[in-house]
Amino acid sequence: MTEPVLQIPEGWQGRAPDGWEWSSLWEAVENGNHTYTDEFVRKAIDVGINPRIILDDGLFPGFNLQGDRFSAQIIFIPEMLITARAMKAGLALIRPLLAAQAEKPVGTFVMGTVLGDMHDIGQSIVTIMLENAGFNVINLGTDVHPDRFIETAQKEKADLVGFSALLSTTVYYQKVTIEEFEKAGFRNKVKILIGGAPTTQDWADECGADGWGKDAMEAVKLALDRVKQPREPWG
Amino acid sequence: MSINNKGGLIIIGENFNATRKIKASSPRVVREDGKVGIAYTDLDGSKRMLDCTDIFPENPAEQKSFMIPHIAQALRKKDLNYITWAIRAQEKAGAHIIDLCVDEMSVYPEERFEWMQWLVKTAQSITDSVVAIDSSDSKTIHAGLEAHDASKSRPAINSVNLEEGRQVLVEMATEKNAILIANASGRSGMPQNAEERVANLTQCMEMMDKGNIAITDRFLDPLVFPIGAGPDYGNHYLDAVRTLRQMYPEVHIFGGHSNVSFGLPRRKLLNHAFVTLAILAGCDALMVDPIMNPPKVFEEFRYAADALTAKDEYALRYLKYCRAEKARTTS
Repeated sequence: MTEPVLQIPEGWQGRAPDGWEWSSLWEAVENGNHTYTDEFVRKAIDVGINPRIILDDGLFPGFNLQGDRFSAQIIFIPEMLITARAMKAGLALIRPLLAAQAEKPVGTFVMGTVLGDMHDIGQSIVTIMLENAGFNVINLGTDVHPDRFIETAQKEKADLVGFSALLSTTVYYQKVTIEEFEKAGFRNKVKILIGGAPTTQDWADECGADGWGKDAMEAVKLALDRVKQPREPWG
Repeated sequence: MSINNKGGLIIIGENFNATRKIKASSPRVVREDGKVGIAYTDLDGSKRMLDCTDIFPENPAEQKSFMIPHIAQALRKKDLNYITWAIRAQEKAGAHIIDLCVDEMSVYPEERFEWMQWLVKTAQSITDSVVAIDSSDSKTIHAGLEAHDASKSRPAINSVNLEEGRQVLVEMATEKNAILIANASGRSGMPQNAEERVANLTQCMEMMDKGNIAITDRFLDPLVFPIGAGPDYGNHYLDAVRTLRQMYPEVHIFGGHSNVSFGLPRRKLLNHAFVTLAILAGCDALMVDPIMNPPKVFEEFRYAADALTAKDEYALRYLKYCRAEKARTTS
């Protein structure tokens, strides 16, 4: 396996003021230094760099590097989490600016743990990662009834819905919830992703999900891919 | 009779859970006559193998990372030799309670009921130890209790909590004179700190008071979450153990301590330190696979720690233990 390397955004100099440098921000996000990330992003906003460029050229390189290392099992969850925390600090500053210039989120993702299941750790990590990747995430928490998934997806015109299940006795509700989406006539309006320790790709196929993520990074990659796939529009 | 191991630790053997897996790269995995399986030595000394050929991937790339669900495989094959070994070897390694969980066998409830009933009957034909009927589904526990023969041993129920539909387990425990395990999960979610753990388990204690469950028949599990996902999760558990121990000196307190290291390297190092901290905080029971992680080192640590901190005055329990060990090793 080749060691992941920092992907420097091509031509970033042309999108930044003369003499500007991003490398210290790349490193801060990589090392999970959220106070430095906050300060540096404020500076970038003050000098008038477009928030979209701050995100793509400033924040994503370090975040993606750690994500690739996490997928390759070179770094561990706590190291991924501090990078996510730094990313979040930067995003908190630029998200309102993106909204003000009518930049839409990558997609709307309704997330929750299925009925009868109280586990929240995994899905809250996935939520942070999806938000960092630019999704608008509505997290319904744990023990979520299929009707609540359906009502929320309809109300928010969701692109994606994700169900987490951590018990072999509750994974069944992933299947039930998908069936309820079908009965409601909404199955083709959303892409449905599942995850959780007892789940597998085989189970995802059996219950009719559109994808299965083995960990938080996989879930983000999957979401970024599936959101581009065609769906019936919400009325 | 209550389970008591004053001075030592009560060991809940967690190995008979259909979720248990062995890495395909483990030295226990062997190939013989075109078959792949898990080698084990019966307690009578004969070498045997649990045949796993049918579930072992053919593709060499997949073989490397494959995890063999050995307990589920033994159940599906109804391999009584392996099942007997997996239960007796845990007893030999110090388990007082044998936990039985078939949740992983099927996502369909009726199939789980059948598996649990079969396993309870089979386990009771192998051992007179207490068997814990363990499921995240109350109805599976009910099915297991129906198959349980109380003339052989008492059952244990794993576990009651404040989630909807679980409280009925207290009634079942009263009816069946069962040992009852309670965990700190709340009515509407997992506990977020030590205080919520204590509050939830206090409510469980009140429910068990109403059900007339003897204090020494109660096991409290404040729930261990992985420190990889939250830096304070270790302290949440340990602080809850300390508080609960002060509130209830006689109750049994334990946890699934190995959860703490999930997602981190060198898990045994973290697990070992965490069990040690948990014993100092007031745990008197462990849920552990005693075959892979022999608990004796922790039992001895508890005897020594109690003597060192005057919880065992004049070191009487410590001395008694040392004499018993000497007699055992010289006989």
